[in-house]
Amino acid sequence: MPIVRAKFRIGPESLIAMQAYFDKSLEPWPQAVPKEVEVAALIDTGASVTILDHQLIQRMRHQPRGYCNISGFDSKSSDQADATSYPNYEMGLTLLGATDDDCILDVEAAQIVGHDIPNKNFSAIIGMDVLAHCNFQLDGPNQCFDLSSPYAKIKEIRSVKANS
Amino acid sequence: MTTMHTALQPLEAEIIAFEAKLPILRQQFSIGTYVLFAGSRMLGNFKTYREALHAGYAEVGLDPFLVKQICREGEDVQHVYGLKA
Repeated sequence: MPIVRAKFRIGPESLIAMQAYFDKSLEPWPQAVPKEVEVAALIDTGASVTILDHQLIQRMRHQPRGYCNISGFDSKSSDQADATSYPNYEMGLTLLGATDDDCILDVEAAQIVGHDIPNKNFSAIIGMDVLAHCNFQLDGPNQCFDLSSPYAKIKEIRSVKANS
Repeated sequence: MTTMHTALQPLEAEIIAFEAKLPILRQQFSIGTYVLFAGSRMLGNFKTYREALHAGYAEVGLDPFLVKQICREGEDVQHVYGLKA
């Protein structure tokens, strides 16, 4: 399976608002509430959106600020009429390379879908919304792949392209 | 029929209001515009996600608000094929 390491963090606008809440309450940021998680992430060209395990998002006490209608989850159906609405969250993410210093792509703000991923091999799925900014080359016979990006940093990923 | 994840219950009023107004929003604003809803009230339209979020947090703080892009009709469904998650 093509799996990379990725860091997901509370997005910049949400982080400012959450920090302001704790400052106003004169409370320190709770140690049990992570601002960032590092996970194994499956590269999935069959997914149009990027997904992080919902339990990890809930540990961050992050609140949904949008939703996304998704069909095809659990292989049940690809019928648009059977779509389910899933929460999405403002998050930043970094795709990591082979070493800790190696960053493939950094995204300041994206709409990340929250969904339970009960898989021991990965806790996130990198979908085409992020992969659209990457080059992905699969070497099947040698069972390896190469993921790179012509961009070091992207400010924002849009789920709907604006009219030109 | 679309079903809703339980985590979206705090945003139910905003989602109902957005979907009711979506046909009109498509006429008023260009595709890709971000709109901000708190309760059944639309608070504004924005060019970027972060601008919309910034306005949402400024208006209602950590209370529920919805930021959603206006999409073309029939293009509001994403796909995740073949995952047994």
